[in-house]
Amino acid sequence: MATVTARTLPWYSPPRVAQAMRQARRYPLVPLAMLTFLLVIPAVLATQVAPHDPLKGALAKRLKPPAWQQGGTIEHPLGTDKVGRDILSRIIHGARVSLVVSLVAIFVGGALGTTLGLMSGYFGGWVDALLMRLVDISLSLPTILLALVLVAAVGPSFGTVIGVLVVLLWARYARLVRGETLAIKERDFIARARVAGASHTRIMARYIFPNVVNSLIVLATLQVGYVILLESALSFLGAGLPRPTPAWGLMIADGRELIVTAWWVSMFPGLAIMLTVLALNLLGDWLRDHFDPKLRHV
Amino acid sequence: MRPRLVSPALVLLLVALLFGLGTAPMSGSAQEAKGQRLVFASAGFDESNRFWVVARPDHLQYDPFLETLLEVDPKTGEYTPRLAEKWSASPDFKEWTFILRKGVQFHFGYGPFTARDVIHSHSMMMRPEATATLAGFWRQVEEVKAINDHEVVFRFKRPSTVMPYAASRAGDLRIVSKVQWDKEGLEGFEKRPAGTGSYRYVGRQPGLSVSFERVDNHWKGEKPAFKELVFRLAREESTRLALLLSGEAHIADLPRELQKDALKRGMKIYSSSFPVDWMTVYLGGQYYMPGDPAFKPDVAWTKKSVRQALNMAINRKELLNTVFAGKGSMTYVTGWSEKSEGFNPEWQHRFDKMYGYDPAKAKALLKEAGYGPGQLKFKILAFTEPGESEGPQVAEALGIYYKDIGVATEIEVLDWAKVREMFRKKAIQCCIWPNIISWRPSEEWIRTSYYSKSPNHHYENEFVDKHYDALTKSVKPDERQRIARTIADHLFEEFADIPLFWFANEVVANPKVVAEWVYPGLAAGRSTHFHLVRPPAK
Repeated sequence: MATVTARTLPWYSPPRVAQAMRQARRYPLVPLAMLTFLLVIPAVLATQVAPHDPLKGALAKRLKPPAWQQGGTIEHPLGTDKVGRDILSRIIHGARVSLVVSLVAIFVGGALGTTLGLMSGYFGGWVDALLMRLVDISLSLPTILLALVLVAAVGPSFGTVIGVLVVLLWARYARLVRGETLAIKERDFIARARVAGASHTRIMARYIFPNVVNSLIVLATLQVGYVILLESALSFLGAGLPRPTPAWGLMIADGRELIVTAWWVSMFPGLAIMLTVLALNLLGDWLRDHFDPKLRHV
Repeated sequence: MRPRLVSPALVLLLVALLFGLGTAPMSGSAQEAKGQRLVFASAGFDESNRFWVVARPDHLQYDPFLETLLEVDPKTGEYTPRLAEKWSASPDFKEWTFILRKGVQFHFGYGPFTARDVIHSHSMMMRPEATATLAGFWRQVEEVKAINDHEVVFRFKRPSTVMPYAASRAGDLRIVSKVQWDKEGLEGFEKRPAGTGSYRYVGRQPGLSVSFERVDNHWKGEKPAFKELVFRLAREESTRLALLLSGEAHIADLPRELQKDALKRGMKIYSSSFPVDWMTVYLGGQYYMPGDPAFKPDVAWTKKSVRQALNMAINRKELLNTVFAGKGSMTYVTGWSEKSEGFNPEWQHRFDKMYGYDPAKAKALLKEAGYGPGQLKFKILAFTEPGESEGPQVAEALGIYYKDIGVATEIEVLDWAKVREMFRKKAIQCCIWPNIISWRPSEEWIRTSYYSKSPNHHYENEFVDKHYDALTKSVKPDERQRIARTIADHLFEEFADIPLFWFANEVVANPKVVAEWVYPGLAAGRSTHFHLVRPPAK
């Protein structure tokens, strides 16, 4: 007897949102466009694009609503915060902050994790055991709590935030690379390289590393969103970048007391975070589908 | 839902929840509160039953149950009898005699209040760990002698004219039971301190609340309208607003910014009877006593012109009208009000020229001191304490003003305890910090803030020390007036710090629960006299 499910019924059509998400994941144009407009252009051209200096305020213009609300002006399209700074300009400059923080943290954390992962997988034995226990410890630490403790100990600054994020990120790279290295090192071309007299460093750098790059790109892309969220959370909790840096998390924190009367102060940076992370996740999905041979064949 | 879509969804949920706050309906617990339970949502304090280790604003937690020798009249601000019926000073102001009230019983059956309890309470202030605001003052006492059970004499090393203030509800000498201490020691005191107030201590949940219950046979006949009193701690301003609007709290300590929201929802503001607090911005690292290793000449504001520039960069009127909703008046010299010894009416006339808003002149002064645009950078520290919610906002505003004169700033929000530790250890050369401080007599103010031997180190030099020593030895009113004015004039001329505003203490209450509340604001803890909170008539 044939099984009848909702999908086989002639009048069934998947929800529009689900369809849209599937389409967005299938074609990278949407997330790429979102990313370009939300993150890349503002980050690169912040000084040119932003209508105002993000640090300059005027108490006389404090808490101006967005342009379309009564009392709002086109001079400050998204309104002003409690010391009269332009919200739009701060969001634009905040994109640069988010991008720089996440890229630097991912690069440093990724480099460290990849190196340790390659060593762990390639050498095996006690090196593997030691490094993997370190990874286990690192992955079991409560992220936000650890970050708060570290920031409380050394004080908030750009360097501290990067340091905290690196401590939180490296283990994922190490585990991923180690797993792939374990499989790759058993393959014939590695054995041939060894017979040809290649050193351990050369084998890891020239023969194994290129084979794990695709996975690293996917992980890094997916982590940009995670890092932006983490950095925003740290800033929101006062353990991130110092004020008056135009960081999105800080902007949300600034507005949380005013949510009833001046919702725009925290709403727009919140939307910026949400859309950016969504775009990065969609892009990450697409990259994974593209680079993963199993998924590609499906 | 795919795992990676969880994060954006959480952001959406957070935003939705935040908006939900704005539409939260008021609960019906206002009715429940009538005559039963009064909840005050406070920004929090240094939680401890050891009154000898906390600062004056933190005495809010003792006000309902630990009494003092003298009262501060809620309407007139005068010092009036409390546990002491009478008091007098010797002609040289070195001896103060207090006649104690008879028939006062400590809570929990620890017996009657006597001179021994006064001596014991003072001995707490002499303990090595005592860091209370007036601990330094109490250490000047050479001897506390019981003449009999109801008469006690404080003998000072030098004249003390500020004793009534220090022994009053504005000071920090809380009277506790010697019998309890002998029986149970510090452990028992920490667990359930006995006082003599019209509320007695019930307990505290660290980080959450302190609770008290009404005493039905208070010696003075004080009869609080509410059976239970709870100080609910909520560091976040929006949380305190939410507690108030939802009916979980009936009074809340809110910044003026949020008071507007509360007023729109039918809440009412209660102000202290007097303008009692001033806000000033301290400049760290002004240690000018010769040979002080903490003095760093490269700290920009060790130059007078930089101090003047930092003053002239601020548009005080704008700051007052925006951040403080126009509720306040100008301070000309930090700590000096019209009723202070040494107040000089001339300051008002000269203030605009010397301190008034003039960014162009501020820039020129900085240039003259060797700081061109972008060459001066420092940190502004911000913190909040009960009744001091505006600190971080003022810090942000200062950053805006300083940016206009080419000075870069970074704002760091810390706990008050951390900031206090930094300036007490003279490790705050990096920073400036806005602070709200309660009024106190000039001599005591100079001692705590400017005298080099005090635990706080704000601005100290030989000139202030020399004149302060002279002030402490003087008992003639005219002479004292002259000396106090000399010190205050010096601080004015030298731009010792950045004086901003005087204002009254304000709290917001639900009028369905609180119909009347008169408190002076001068008492330690600011929002005090909870026995005078009256509910609406039924």
